[in-house]
Amino acid sequence: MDLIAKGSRVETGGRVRWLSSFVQLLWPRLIELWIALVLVVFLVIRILGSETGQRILKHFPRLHHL
Amino acid sequence: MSVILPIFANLILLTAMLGFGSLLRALIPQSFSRVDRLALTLLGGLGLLGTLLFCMGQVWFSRTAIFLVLLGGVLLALKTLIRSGPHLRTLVGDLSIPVLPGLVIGAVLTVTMLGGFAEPTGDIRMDAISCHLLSPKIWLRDAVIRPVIDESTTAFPTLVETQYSALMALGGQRAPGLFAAIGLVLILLVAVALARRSGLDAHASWWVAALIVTMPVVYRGAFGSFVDAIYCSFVLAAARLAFDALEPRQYLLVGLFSGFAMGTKYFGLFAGLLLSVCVILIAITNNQEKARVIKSLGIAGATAVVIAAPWYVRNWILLGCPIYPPPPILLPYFHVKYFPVEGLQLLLVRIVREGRGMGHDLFSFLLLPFHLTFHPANFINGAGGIGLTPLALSPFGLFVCRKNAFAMRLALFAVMLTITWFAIAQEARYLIHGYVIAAMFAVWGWSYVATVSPRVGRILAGLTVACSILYGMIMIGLARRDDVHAVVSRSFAEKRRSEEIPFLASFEYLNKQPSAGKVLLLDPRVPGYYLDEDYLKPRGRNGEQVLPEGANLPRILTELSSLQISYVLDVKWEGGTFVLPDQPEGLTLVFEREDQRVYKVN
Repeated sequence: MDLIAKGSRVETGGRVRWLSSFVQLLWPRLIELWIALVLVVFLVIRILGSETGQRILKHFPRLHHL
Repeated sequence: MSVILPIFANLILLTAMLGFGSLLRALIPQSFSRVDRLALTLLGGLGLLGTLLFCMGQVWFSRTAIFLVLLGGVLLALKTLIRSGPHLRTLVGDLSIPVLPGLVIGAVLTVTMLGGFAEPTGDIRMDAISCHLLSPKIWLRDAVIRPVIDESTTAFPTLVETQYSALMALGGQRAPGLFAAIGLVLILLVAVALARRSGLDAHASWWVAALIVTMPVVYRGAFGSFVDAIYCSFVLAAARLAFDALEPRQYLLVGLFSGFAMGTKYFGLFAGLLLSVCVILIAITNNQEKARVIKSLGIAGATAVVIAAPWYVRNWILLGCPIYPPPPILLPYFHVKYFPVEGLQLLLVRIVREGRGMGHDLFSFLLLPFHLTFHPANFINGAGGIGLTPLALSPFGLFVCRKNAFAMRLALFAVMLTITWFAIAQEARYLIHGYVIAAMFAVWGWSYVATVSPRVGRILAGLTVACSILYGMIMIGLARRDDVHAVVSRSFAEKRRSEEIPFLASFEYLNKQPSAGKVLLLDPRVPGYYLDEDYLKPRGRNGEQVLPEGANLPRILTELSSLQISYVLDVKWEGGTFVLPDQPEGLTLVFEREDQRVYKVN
């Protein structure tokens, strides 16, 4: 794991293990990013973009163009 | 009484469903869980009851006939309940619902039941008024099941509408509204059964149900007399059986449920075909014996054809084409009655326009999950959407289930259903089975995310589920707000009636007159549902042609007595004029409002 972090490749018995280690490290972050993105887009389009959202945003002139 | 009778009618219907469904219990494999058995029994009972009522209704559909059929079902149910008395407690124990999803489901069902007591209102653009409730009311009045010629959509398969007739016979016009709660329970039971079979535990399976019940699009297909939720339940039940079927009698059940789906909506024909393709693909990948697969599909196909045939044969005999209104591809082969080709073309243009969704190209297909999540209102009846979980969590569910054969079969079926829906008619509520399967994968994904990323991922996934459920509940609440308000406030109900029912004053006047023949409705957009008496509409709103001479008004006016017309209703829409002149010959003005006139035939 430490070697991967330094950008090295570890070969064991001919198998390249860097991919699985990379996945182990990055995969959870990718999942979190994906879910967070869906949530944020939902918030912007469906909540702030709704009629009620726009009515509320009118009270905040700098934001209401959202 | 406006509440008690609908409750009584629905309870009787539910008991009859259980009774008829008990006839199928011997065919359900022993390996199936109790939830599976309950879902299949109730759904199967609903299908058998609807088919039986429809077949009998071709010759006899009086209230006595309906009571006799329901009585048969209730007696069968009593027999089953007495026999399986000691096992009932186990069944209830098996259905114990975890608190949080239970509260969500309970809240939605409560709103559904409360709103279900509301009187149906609305103009002819409402499917319930133009079709789903119109035909049951007319069948009851005429004591026979026939399509309403001026409204071609009443020729669609009507497995569920026949039960609306039974409900109206027992509980009045409000009873079908309450049936939405039964429809919702059925699709939730099927969803839980699928989730359990895919490997989710009881707790997680009920979260699938909670996600589904709060999807506004799924809910849209379950209330307001829409039959989509029940149709999709039939399709999913057929899939549940097909993906585990081994013996011929199990394929018999697959055919039965496919037939019920075909008897509920024309889309059932596609669903049956796609399910067959899935079974063949599974057989190929599992190196199954060719002869056995052909025999199994033969049994399922033959059963489906026998079950669905009454609707299609009836249409062929009475209207000239098994599928009515016919798609253009069938026009050269059938002589279609009551529908000129120009009218059919206009109807087709309307269907294509409404089913356009957000485009039919490959790019639109690839963006479909995003469109359905973020822009659902661009699809007809899609407002409110399907929540966030199918997009946010299902991909991980698919990943984690990649070696789960049953789940992968469901995924394959869902993809095939989605492609067909995308190509044919992108109306949001037609894809409810797809959303149910997506919700199942979402819960798999939720559990996977919580394992892979126990802190941030778990919180984000929980937030996604919470957002979906809360937003869905708000949207459902808004959709049923007026219904619930009308139930608890008499003054609001009256206000709503007068605002939403066009030409209400004339309907009230005509419904008070002693029965003495038909009412002639000159405008095709006047909703005949509100008229208790028989009526004649020379031309339907889609261009249907009821009389051989068409909508030739001068000629119709000369034939009023031979057509047994007693009253004529003439209306004026905003900015328009009346059809008849101020003092028409042979008619006496007996009732008048600014935009409506009722004449009595001299």
